[in-house]
Amino acid sequence: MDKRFASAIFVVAVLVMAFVLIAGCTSPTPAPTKSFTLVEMTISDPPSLDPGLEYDTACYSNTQNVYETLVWYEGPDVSKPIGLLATSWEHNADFTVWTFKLRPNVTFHDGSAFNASSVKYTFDRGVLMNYPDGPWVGAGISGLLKGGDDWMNSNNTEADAQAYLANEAVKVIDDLTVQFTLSRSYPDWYHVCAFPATAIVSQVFEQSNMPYKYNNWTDTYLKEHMSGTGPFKFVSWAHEDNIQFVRNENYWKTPAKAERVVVRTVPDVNSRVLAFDKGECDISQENLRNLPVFRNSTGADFKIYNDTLIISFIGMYQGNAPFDNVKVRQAFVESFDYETYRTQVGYGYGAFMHGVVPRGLAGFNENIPVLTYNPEHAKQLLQEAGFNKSNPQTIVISFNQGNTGRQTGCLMLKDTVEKYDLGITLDIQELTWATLLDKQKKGELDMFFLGWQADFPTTDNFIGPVLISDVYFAKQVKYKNATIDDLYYNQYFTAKSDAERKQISDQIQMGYLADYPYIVYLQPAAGYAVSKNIKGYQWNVMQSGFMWYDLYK
Amino acid sequence: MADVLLSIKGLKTNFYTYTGVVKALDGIDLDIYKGETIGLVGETGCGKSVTALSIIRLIQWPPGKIDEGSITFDGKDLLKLPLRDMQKIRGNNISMIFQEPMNAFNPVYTIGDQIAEVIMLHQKKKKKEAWQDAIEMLKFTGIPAPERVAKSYPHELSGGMLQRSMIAMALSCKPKLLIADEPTTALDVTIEAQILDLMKGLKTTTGASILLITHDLGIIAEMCDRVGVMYAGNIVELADVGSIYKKPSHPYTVGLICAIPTLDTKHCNRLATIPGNVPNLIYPPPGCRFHPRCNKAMDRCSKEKPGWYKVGEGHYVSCFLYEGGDKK
Amino acid sequence: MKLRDYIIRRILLLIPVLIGISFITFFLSHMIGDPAAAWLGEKTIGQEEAVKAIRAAHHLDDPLPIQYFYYLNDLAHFDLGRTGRNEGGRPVIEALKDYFPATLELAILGMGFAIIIGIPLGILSAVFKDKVPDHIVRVLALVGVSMPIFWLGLILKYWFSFKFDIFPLDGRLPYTVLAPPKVTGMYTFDALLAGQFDTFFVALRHAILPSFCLGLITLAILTRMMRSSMLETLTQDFIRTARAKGLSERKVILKHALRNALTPTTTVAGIAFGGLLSGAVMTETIFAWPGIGRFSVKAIGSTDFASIMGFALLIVLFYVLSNLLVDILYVYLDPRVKYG
Repeated sequence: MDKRFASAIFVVAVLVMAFVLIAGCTSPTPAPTKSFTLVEMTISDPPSLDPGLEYDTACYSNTQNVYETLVWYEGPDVSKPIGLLATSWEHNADFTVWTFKLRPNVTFHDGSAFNASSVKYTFDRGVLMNYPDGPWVGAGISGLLKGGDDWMNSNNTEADAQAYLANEAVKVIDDLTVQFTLSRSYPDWYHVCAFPATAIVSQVFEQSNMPYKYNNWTDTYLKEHMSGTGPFKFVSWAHEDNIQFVRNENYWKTPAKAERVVVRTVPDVNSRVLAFDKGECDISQENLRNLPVFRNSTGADFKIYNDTLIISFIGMYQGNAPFDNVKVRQAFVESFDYETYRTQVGYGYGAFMHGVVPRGLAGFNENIPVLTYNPEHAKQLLQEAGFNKSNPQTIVISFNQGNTGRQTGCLMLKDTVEKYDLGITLDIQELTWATLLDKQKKGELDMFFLGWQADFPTTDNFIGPVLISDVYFAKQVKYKNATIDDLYYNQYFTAKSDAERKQISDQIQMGYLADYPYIVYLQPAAGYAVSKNIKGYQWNVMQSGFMWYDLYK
Repeated sequence: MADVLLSIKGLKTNFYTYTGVVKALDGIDLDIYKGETIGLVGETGCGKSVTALSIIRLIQWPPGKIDEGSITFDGKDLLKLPLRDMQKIRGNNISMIFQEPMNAFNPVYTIGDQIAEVIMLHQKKKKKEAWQDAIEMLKFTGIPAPERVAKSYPHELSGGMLQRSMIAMALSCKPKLLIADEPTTALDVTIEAQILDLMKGLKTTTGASILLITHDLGIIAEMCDRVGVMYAGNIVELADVGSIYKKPSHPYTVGLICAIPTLDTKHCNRLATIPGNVPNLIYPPPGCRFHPRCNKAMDRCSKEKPGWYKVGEGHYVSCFLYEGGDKK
Repeated sequence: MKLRDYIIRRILLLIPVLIGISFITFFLSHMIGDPAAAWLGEKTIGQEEAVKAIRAAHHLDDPLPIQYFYYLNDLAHFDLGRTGRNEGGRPVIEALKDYFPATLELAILGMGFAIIIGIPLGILSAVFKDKVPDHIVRVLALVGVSMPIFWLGLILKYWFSFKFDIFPLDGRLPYTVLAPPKVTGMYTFDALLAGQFDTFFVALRHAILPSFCLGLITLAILTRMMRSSMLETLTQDFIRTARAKGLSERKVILKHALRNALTPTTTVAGIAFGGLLSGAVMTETIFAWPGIGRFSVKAIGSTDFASIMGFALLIVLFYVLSNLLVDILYVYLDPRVKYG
């Protein structure tokens, strides 16, 4: 082997490395811009950018900065609604007709004027789109509007659409006045008008580019294009890469401080931390479980907000034994170690539940007692219910695949209950959503983890699904309390005043306590990371992620 | 006596394997004269090919290594030449023909390319010129349609054709010594005869010396002027072709010749075999390496290595039986 | 057979292969569960009505063979269907057009790294068998094969981007730089086509760490493959002939041994290229690279049949094409190989 050849090979290797390094060093680095560009990193790309179509926070976290709703809130407090695109609103005595006065001299980014027909267009569009997986159906907004249910249950023909429109559920009174007629009393309608899916879109923009027809949700122009009235204008979207926005200089309020916003999709949390530390990222929404990853970050602060519209609970199927016995349910409620769960899974964050309405909402009442861990008493209750060693029984508890927090919950419960030594075995099953649903329908699952994220900050959005016998969760676990049902349907919505309504919701939540239908364990906290030089962040529960307008350096 | 072209003295080549050192050549002495054809004959594994490869220093390390001796060619000791100078001799002054023509050509280049390559290398000719020379050489070796053969890939040609091409390649730089390592073993009999004829003819036209390595005494008889008989890493008998058949002297040579079916029964009575096996060269027998199989072995054969003894004009044997004769 | 005829025949053979693959992936993917439930997730509980409506809207209640028939029919019209909720229901073909070039770019550059570095290292290792360079290369190759991409990616980013600011952290281009006009969708190539050399260098800078990360395993495999086939070739008779001709060691190795030793390495490289295309999800995740790997994982996570099928068919297509390329290369590398 001659040395020349060996050295030749080494030279080739060195040249390759040198080329790589030269490519790395000599290329022009983009000059730092003087103006303030806000970089947000997200875990996943939005499915699309059409706020009326997507029922997804990854979509709203972008659209809420481009589109505006009629109503918003004063700072973080959702009990203080203020007009955004509306200036004021009033309702009739039984909360079925709502009239909104609109803000004058507002224009969309495409230059067209915002007015009452924009509002009518947006609401009729949402209803008529009738996307089964969309927010108008999913959050029950379509059903709240007069004639909405009929349309949803129809064959969605042209005639059906005309029949819906003939109801004039959304009616233009004059250029800046719009009137909603509801299908039933709904005292919290203004909260619906703060929901990002009801943000007002530009009729001219959509119709001039790709005329939109009812009941067509496969292709809408707004999936990839945006024109709202908000503080930021949409520029471009490279799928799974970045979405770019610029400041709306003609915003009806003072223009935002950030001149430009880039939302980058960076799915790996370690990569986001590196980006923060290198100064390439300003904000990101984070799952609480990423808290430890951010502990050593030099560039980001991990912040927690406790006010969420989420409650976490375990359902107990009351259609058959053993959970048809209230003593058994109570025993299980008292067998869950709430404190340890919060420490282990929530890193010490999250609030214990007083009733089923989370803190921050009108129906929240601190005087409703929290559920407590009391294994001695639980064991006694189980003995009273007839459990003993000579009669071994298996109880199936399941959670959705991959949810490690819930898995921990299952193991804790299993540990406690099996230590009673009363012949009870907890069979933990990790299931996909499809199987879980299937098994649950057949009544094969005794206990299963549930989570509920409400769409509106309204009390009924929690009481309804959880406690009312013919709505989602209660129906699934076969929970029925006639008194509560009656209070809800016949008194709550028609109450004359907010105070009276609060009284009824308290009554309902106190009333359910004795039934022990669920182990309601937490209002989980949520987290976000923000670089140390970003200021002005505030949070309210109706936000999906960040309001870029508030942020400054 | 004619001029010595290449002189091998005390050549020892060893192979360092995991199981031990294979002493493949145990001190070879051999002179090759200008213009002669000398044969090396012996059983498989006796060191014929190792001798050939040692001459052009193609013993691969690891495991093989030339440990002792000298090979003088043109007044230079080849074993002491820098590799660069050795490369100038290979294929130029000394070239080689291998046993398996099928495998000896690179399958991915044409015959013409491979012949032209050696011409370009040693004669510093341009590609076009070298290619012309290559076709000339192919024609010279009696290949019909040499242009077509030059453009062919090795797999497109027969064994005989390939061996002719190999000869053409070996002769293309007019070497002084051509080493042919069992050039016909892989060929069938009719082709073998053609190739041997070719080589005989070439010798007269080019005047090159040929070192012919074979295990076939018939080929030796037909081709060679002199012959060396090898056994287990030693040359045991060296003689003119005529005298070795007339008067085989070393017991191994006798055994070898008697192993040929023949009508001539002057030296042996029947078709014979040599008893025993080729020795293990990691632990070769002491003294004369043939003594364990020798029917005339004496006590001293297992203790001392015999020297060279002359038994006739140009006829030398390495055996104590002939100790009375003149020393070489 | 002529090269053109051969290519046409191989491409025609693709059709049954693709149909076969579509059959397998169709039925396999429909076994992973109910997409309606996957789409709704937490909201599934208590919403049978919504599940039913979604199933009806997406024709999920038809028998599977009939659904497959519809799919094939669409496929014959070059319609790959529509993505699921995860992609906003846009046509699958559009999503593939968006994501595939990014991955292809990574795979091509990764393969480039593997070839430019791996093959010389393999040669070096074989030529210096059992000596120091060989030991170093073999250890490196072993490390390369066994290093988890996930970890490697973060380490590369930490050292080459965070500590020493040589390469950017992630992404395909800085957000301040406009993407070059779309021709292939691969930014580096498109920038060159458009003559935007500044953009080319920026895009290349962004691609170097992820493509190296993606290509490292292939690099290590090629090194090992090259080493062993080189060693085998070096024992061949024709190498001895080449030496006997008086050729320098460099010529013996680079002219006579290399071309013979390349054949098995080329096969491995062809197969590995398919692996680079389909196995880029980790790299894409770490380097925020908007590629097809992330798309496919998202599609599987949301039981998005059409996207899974589109992904599988595209990968198979490129897998077959890269093997076709290898077969054509063979003919140039080794005259004994014939089309057919």
